[in-house]
Amino acid sequence: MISLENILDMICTEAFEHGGVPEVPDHKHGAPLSYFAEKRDARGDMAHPERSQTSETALQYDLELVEDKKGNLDWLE
Amino acid sequence: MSTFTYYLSVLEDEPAKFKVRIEPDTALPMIREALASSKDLRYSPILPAFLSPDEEPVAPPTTPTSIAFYFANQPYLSLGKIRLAVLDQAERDRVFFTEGLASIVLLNCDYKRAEELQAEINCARMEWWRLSAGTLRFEDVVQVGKLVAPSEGLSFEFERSGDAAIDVYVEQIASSLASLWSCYVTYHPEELETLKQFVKLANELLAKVVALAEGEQTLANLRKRNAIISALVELSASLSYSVTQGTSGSSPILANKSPFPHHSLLGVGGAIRALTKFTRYLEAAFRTRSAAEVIRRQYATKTARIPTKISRYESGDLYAVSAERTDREEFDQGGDFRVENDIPLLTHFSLRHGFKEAKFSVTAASESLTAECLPAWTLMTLSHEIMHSRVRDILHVLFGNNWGDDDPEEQWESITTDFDKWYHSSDRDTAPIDQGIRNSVLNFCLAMDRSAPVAVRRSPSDKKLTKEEVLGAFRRFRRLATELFVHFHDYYFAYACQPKLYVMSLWASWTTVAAPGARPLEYLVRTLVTVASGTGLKPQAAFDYAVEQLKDGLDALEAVEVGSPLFDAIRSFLENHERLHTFSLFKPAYYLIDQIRYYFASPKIATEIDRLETDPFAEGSTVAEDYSASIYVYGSQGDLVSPIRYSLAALVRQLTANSPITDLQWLTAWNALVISSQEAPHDQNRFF
Repeated sequence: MISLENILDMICTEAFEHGGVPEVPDHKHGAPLSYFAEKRDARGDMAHPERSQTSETALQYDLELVEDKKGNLDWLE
Repeated sequence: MSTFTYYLSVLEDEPAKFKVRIEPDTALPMIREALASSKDLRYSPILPAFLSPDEEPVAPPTTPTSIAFYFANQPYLSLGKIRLAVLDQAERDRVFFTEGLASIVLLNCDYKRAEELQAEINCARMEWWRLSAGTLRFEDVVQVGKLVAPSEGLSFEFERSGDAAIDVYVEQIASSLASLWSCYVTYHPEELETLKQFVKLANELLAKVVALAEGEQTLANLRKRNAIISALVELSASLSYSVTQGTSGSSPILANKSPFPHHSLLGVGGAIRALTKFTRYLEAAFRTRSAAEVIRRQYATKTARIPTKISRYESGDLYAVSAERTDREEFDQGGDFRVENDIPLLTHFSLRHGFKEAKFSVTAASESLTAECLPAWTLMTLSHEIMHSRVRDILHVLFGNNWGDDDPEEQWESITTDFDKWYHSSDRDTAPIDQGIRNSVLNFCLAMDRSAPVAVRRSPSDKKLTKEEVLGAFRRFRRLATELFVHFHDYYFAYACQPKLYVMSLWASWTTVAAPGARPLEYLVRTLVTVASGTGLKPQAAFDYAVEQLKDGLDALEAVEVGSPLFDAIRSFLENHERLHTFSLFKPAYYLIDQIRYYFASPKIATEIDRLETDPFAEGSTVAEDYSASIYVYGSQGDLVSPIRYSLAALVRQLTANSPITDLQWLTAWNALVISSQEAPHDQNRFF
């Protein structure tokens, strides 16, 4: 269902995002238990290997969930 | 267990001498005997092929005098053909079907008659065993059939790379392809085109890894190389599964033992064919419009206003699924964006992975071989996995890289800049639709990142985000966003937007999966937003509607004794203050799934899935709700069974406790038999 060209580009994206760590875990990279808990993404939420953490503010994002004294919850922005 | 299922067993009594028996109910006594005598046992379930309402099938003999195995590639159609026109009642009582490549079995039939029936059944291979007092020797096995030669062989251009680590995979992949090619020529000719595509893919991967080896040796280069090697490993593993599961049980049966111990005699090739046909059917429907191409060539060139403020999001009629909108859905506008040169998914069973999608394959739980008719193991769950493949493509086009990219940082910089501009735009501003969809995904991820409530509002400076923080939120919640895309596709395309049925199907299957027990609230919200999608209701009304659908669905499951402590847990999230918290998580997810619904609903594709005009189970109706999965309906040549509608109807039969029989193995194997006989999609020559 996915074109050959897109499959190849997905593999490139995986190189950038995960440094080539396999998607389906083996015994070295993911135990079966953690695999079942995080079934969709065997790589978990691993940090991007190349990202620096030093950039300046990119944007003002105002959305937040606020709980008042009566316990009401409202999304505000 | 029920007397509908019998087990055909072969115990190696002496070298080249076998005891053949048929036992009812359970295989355990024969396993016990094999263990006690330390002898090799092979067995497979065989099921009576022709049932009549309110009649028990005739029991087979314990020690038959002969067995004819027919390797029919469309056994459901073959059974329909021979049932009345060729067989008399006595013969019908001796016909059984299996989940193996030897899909039809006839007991106590002389060789001449067996040969006559081979022509009627129209199968390339037949194997006939003559038994003497329950004993079989090699010389008593007759193989009938010719080697089938395709019009062309498989062009094989693999070269060794010179790197021993890579060449291991080259050989593994090549040998798997060789095994599959020779098997598929006889047993699965429609899949030969699939193998050609995998040769192309493997060649492309090998060319890239060789080019990387010749380039500058940097860390980035190494990572790309590792990604390709990971892909080669994944490809090799999938092909290897296809060999072991799809080719065992071929003729000669005694020489091709299956790796599945409970199908060791005849294998599971027929069930694999069913998985494959199910998958190809959906792939063919989705191939009519490429989501990737619609995004690249249509959505990148059109502009629209996609809501930016989740706090003020209200949905509306625009998002409602209705017959009036059929010709106006955004996804179906514009040119003819077919998927070209695609890589079909390999399909197999997996005990460890269960239902799972990866780049090159989808797996069904191994339990589906025995209890597919139960909601927990229904093939409908495979549709969810196939939708993951579709969504993988969508998210790749929105957020992925390509081989021309050297600096993913630049791409992310551009994405966050676009998002910032879009988020602060006015209600009159528009943006390219592809950007808008990408931004709505980011908006959802950022909202989820702030879903822990605060008592005091943040100061403006505390609301500022760096691009790394945006990326971090995206990475944390991309999986959840992906699931929302998948749920919508599954609900809209496979379940035809039937909310209660979808709830019942989801939660019946999730009782056997660990993750919903670990994160029940997440799975609850996923369910609620999915059945709310397409209503166009304001968020609170949509939430209330979805909760009612959920409760109805859970009650209906419990009424047929499908229950779980999980159900009480999720009900507790809908009471008192917990309900407010659940609604707070519902709202951003509802916002996102509405956008998915608006930009990815496709009546054109849905029509391809619901081709009911020539389906014997639709009884002339073109309405999906009228569909039945009667076990007393037999197909004939030219019939086109929709595997999706059939599986869904079979699931409904179980969910409503409305099955005329209760033998799980029989129902499971019958469903596989019907689906495995599906005609190949119209565009099977699409690759060339």
